[in-house]
Amino acid sequence: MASREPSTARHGNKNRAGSIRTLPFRGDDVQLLVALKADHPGAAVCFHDRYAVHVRAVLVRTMGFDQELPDLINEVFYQALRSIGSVEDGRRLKAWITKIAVHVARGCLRKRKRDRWLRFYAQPAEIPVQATVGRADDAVETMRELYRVLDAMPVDERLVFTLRFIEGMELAELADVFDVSLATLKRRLVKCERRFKVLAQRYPMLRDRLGNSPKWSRR
Amino acid sequence: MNDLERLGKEIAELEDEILEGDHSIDVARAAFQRDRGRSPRRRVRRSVWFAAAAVAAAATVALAVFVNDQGLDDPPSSGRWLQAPEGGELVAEVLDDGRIELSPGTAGRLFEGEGPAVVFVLEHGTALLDVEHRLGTDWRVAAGPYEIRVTGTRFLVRWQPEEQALTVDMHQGEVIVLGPSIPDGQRVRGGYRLQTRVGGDVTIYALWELPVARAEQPLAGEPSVRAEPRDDQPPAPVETVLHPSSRPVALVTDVETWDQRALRGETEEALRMVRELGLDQLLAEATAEELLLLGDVARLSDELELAARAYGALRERFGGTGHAATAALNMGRMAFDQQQDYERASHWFGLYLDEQQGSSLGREALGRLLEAQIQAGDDGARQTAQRYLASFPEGPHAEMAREAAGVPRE
Repeated sequence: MASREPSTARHGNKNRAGSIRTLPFRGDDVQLLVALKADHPGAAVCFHDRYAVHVRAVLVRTMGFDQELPDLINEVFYQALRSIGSVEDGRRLKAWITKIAVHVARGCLRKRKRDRWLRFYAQPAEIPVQATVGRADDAVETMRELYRVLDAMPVDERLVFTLRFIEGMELAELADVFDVSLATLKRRLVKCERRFKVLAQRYPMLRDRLGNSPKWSRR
Repeated sequence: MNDLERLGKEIAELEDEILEGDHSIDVARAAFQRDRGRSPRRRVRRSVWFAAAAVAAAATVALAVFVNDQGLDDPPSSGRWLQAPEGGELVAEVLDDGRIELSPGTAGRLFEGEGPAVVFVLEHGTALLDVEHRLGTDWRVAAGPYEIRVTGTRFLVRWQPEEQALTVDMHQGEVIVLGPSIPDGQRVRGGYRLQTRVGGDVTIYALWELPVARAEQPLAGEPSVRAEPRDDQPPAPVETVLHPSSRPVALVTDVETWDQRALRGETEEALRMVRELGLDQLLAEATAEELLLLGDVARLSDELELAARAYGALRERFGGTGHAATAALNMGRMAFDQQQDYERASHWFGLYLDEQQGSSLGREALGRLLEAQIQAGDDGARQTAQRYLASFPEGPHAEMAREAAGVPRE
């Protein structure tokens, strides 16, 4: 049986004639930084493609699911591109954009806290409806309670807590993100762990999860 | 790993699971490319979101239109080229969602798995599409300058490029047709036909009023509801949209179905669309998953009567399923939390426990049942408390249960 797929020879030349297309940027982070500083065509989009998933993860971990997520992701990249001249080492591109993502999350969370106080923005972060539909799962309830506790925490403590315990960042990495010493970071962690534990007592799922821990029951 | 680290890990895993269905990066990338790295006025974030969504959709549809413009003699190399022979039909199975049947001589190109799940570019002829209705289903059919958005339905589409004429016969469900004269979209429901041509009116007919003899040409697979000719008068259109437009073709607008809106958290708009669509029809035709979604959205928006109707329809039409049991649980939550009707809450929590024995939410449901019975002054609370303590001696309601059962504290 003859193939229904037409021969590519019949249309190949027509598509090639007179067209100009930008080749995607292919280089490591050091080369990418050079390209970004030189405003190389395709470098900005490559930068976005390379780090959007990481940026989204940082934003979701720290803020929860947010209807403005696409705009927040891009805000991180816009801020990054505006200050790209200040980056000297391309190998630190990921750490640098992580800092900017945390900075954007902090700004947004603080603004919302202010607005919530003024009743302009009454809704705390919520789990997307699609995550709960048909899901009879303790985890969803636990996550909902966790967001409520996080909403009640000071923004800086929330950031440290979520990046450490949910994103699982290393202490040294966290200290770098927050521009503090390791000792200061450890003190902050102890403080926000304690606050989380107190706030979690109001919520049955969290209380149950944390209360049965030998570590917690000893205290 | 301590409990806090374990909890964080589980939350991260759940977030990652939810993010698998997230398109925020695609939307962000489309907007980023459009702005070429220049920061837009971010204070108007909402409009950026919609604009970005439109750009993302435009990219997909532009591809489809580009493909369409190539013509049959010069088809592009991507997608699946479907061509039914002059003497027979061609049937294509598409993803897990459905199938496309092409009548003799019909041709089109099929794109699967990017942006919208399926884009079918109908070059010419007649195609019957059968799409399973599931949450999040997103099929698009491009025919000339027209686009048809599909969330799950069975319909027939005919595109006559030489006359620039489009006919859509809806057998089941609903689609939205966009194109010249209808840049904002026209809904077509089951049992109706939309007819239009570029530069002409858009006319909606009831299929059962179209006499067979009067049809310009019988369409393959036409619905059986079609009646015999009744008289010599032409059928009266149900609705005619009288705005032939000279505006440039704008295929992409912010037209979405209610469940897509709901899944994006735009609950008010979703409920408005539900009412516009016709609640009775939706309650009668929607899937179990959709009814649960509608109930949840209404409940969370304090539209309690609507929520009760959605959950009620779900339990009536899909009794014995997990979704029906979940509806009972949510009815209990609604009665307890929002209506403070503790007797009714007890009834629903009890029903959930009967129907979903051993479920992961059993402990919470039993705890909520205990709370409701205590609030209602129900003598059954003591027995429920004993049952709770026997199953979950360390559970979050254990203290309350011990008190209700008269068990002294340890």
